[in-house]
Amino acid sequence: MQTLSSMKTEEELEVEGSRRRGGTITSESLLGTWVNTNSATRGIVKVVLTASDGKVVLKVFGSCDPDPYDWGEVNASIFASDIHSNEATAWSAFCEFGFMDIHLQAHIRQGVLIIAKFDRFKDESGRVNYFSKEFFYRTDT
Amino acid sequence: MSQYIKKVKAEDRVESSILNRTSDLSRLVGTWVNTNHATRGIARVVLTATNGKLFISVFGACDPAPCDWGKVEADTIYSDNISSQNASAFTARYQFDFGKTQLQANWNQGLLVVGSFSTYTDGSGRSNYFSREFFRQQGK
Repeated sequence: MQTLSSMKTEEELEVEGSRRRGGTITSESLLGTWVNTNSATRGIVKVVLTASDGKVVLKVFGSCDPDPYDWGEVNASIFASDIHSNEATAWSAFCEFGFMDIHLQAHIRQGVLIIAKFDRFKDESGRVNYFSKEFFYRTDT
Repeated sequence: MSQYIKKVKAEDRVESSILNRTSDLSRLVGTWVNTNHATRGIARVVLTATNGKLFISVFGACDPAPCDWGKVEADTIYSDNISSQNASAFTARYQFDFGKTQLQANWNQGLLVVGSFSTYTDGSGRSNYFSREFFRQQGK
């Protein structure tokens, strides 16, 4: 076994082993339209993930009255479940709005997309930065 | 009475009476030990506060002794909702010579839930990956 730089045991990769090497991650398991399990959410109503030119593009729709607020498109970084896996099960993205920014970090668990949302305000409105988590199901599978 | 402020979702709207509050870090500060003794990920997280700033020390599961990742300041501290003074989450970044790890952690029912997004830049062939682990506060 070759020794690689690591800061925890699970980062050690067996180069001469039976397990497949990691590297290129496929995004199919993440793609599609994901709708909030809470129809009365005041946070994110739905997210849409598509693949374009080898990248994963995220569209988010925030809860607003009378219609959801389209946050626009941002690229998402995708992650597998371990260093040997080639299937994406998580993603992260950064949404910048000027007066605030939002880190989104999401993973799939038992078919549900769990999105952790980190809201940071930069407009001196006095609002506190806050964390929330919401759950989404896929509509187009 | 609510005042008009910019928002991208309904929950960003708040009552003016709760604005400009400072965060209480006490719920996060302490030594947090992985609930899984056999973890191959993060063994322990130590959170300290100095002058309203939150600092993170991570110890990875390594043999024979834990790997000390060093001490970094939290990028941002978050409350559990827009009306709360209780700090309950943070994000932090570790940069290594072979890659980087983004940490996102939140307090939930007495546990610290830590999500790690590891990215490799050393051409080792390792997949970037996500993991999520649970930590209990030592001594409580």
